[in-house]
Amino acid sequence: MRVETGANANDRAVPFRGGGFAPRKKRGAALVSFVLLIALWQAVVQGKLVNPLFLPAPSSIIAALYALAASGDLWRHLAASLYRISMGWLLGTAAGLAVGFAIGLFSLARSIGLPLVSALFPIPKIALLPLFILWFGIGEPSKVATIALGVFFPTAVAAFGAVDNVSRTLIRMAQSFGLPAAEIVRKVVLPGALPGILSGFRISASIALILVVAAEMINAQFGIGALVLIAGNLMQTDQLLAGVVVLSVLGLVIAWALGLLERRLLRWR
Amino acid sequence: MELVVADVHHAYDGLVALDGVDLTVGDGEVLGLIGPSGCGKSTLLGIVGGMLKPTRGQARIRGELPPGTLNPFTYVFQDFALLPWRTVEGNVSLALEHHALTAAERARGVDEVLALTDLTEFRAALPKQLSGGMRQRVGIARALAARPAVLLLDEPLSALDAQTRELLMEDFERLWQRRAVASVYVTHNLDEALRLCDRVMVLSRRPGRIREVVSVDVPRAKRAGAEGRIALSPLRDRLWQLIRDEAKVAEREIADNAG
Repeated sequence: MRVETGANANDRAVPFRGGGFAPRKKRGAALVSFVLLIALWQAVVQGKLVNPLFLPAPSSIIAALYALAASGDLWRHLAASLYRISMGWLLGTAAGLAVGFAIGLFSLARSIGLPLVSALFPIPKIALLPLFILWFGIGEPSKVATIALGVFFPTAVAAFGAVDNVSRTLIRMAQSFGLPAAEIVRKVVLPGALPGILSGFRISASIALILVVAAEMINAQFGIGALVLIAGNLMQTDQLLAGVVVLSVLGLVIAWALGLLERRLLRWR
Repeated sequence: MELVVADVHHAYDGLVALDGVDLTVGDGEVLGLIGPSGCGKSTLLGIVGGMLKPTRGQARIRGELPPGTLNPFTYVFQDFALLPWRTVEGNVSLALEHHALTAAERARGVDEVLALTDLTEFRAALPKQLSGGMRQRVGIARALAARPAVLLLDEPLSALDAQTRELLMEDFERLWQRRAVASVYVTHNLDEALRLCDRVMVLSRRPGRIREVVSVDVPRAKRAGAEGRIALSPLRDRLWQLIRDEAKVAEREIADNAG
């Protein structure tokens, strides 16, 4: 072992052993890798290494996206999907928060609600779409109900967990100052549970996105899921992937909006 | 006004934590509660403040509450119990928001206690921006804002380092000099109890019973210096004698129960 020595052989510097295990973000690395990947993809298709019918070039996807936007089809599909996502997400979130808070706050609700939610949570919600079509008809309500149900369970579980995790000391503190129960919920439980609830929103938003595509693939004239399905049936893979790009952008926009909401509401963390 | 605790017993699932505790705290008096781990100090404090229902006995206030009292029994917590999403001012005003006060009265109440605890210039800070000592001062300010008849302090300095503890003890001394509030002060620390309390009540290991009540006759203002420490040293020895053996047995019991 080579060590730095001082005036005599017994005078040695202490070797540094504390490096590594501290991953950090490298500025621009993500952008560069993204650009490189697209360039490689473009080169592979242009060099005819793969059949463009099965994997269209990024330039073809952009052209398809432009054509869809120019014809107005993209906006019609996007509007239909956004309507379903927002309606389903709002309904599911409202119900999930109400049930989650009830389970978190009241013994009876916990005794009844927790086993029920735990038992029904694992059911793949898309499997219930045919049943919802029978109940609500072939139109919008069945798709919105599927999304709402898919959003409801993770929201209820996240809200219950978040309420349960609010520091008991803070609740006891509020009680000791004589705050009425409703004020304790408003001033202590709700803000204390907010980080957990917002994390739940991230999960429920991605579930809503998955379910809207699945529901639209089963039965819809408009919607990004329908666009992808129809394009696939017609072997229009550039349009198919244009739809996938739209979904990916939609997911990123939702994640960005939730991140913004978190930064605004959780500035105190 | 006097706080009276009469024949208080408490058991958790058959495990007796307190057994026949009686105590009184006079107007403006600071009563220290010490004892080995698990002797029921915090349980007793919970019962006094109405946060725990005793199995038997009760805590009462004898006489008129001081005028303007908003929350007769008010706690100062070991881990501060501040709302991290509220500023210093917001945390203090929490104690007043549900009382029938005008906005001006509330603002005056907050300003007064912030000034009393030297926190005025930090009123807009969030708890995460404050040191441990400052956070506890916010906890104290919040408690004072509720204009308590009895202040219940649950190991208020135990989460702090030695230097901050020393500074906060000075704060407490100043505070009680300016505004005498009957207080029950739970601590593990004998020096803290002797420095701040008028009487120190020693509880036995579980089930907690009163072993002895020691009066601290040295004036509070003189307890901090070398002379004060010398004057307090026989009392310290006495308290340690009362606690030492019990603390050893209590430690062993806790280890046995954990195993």
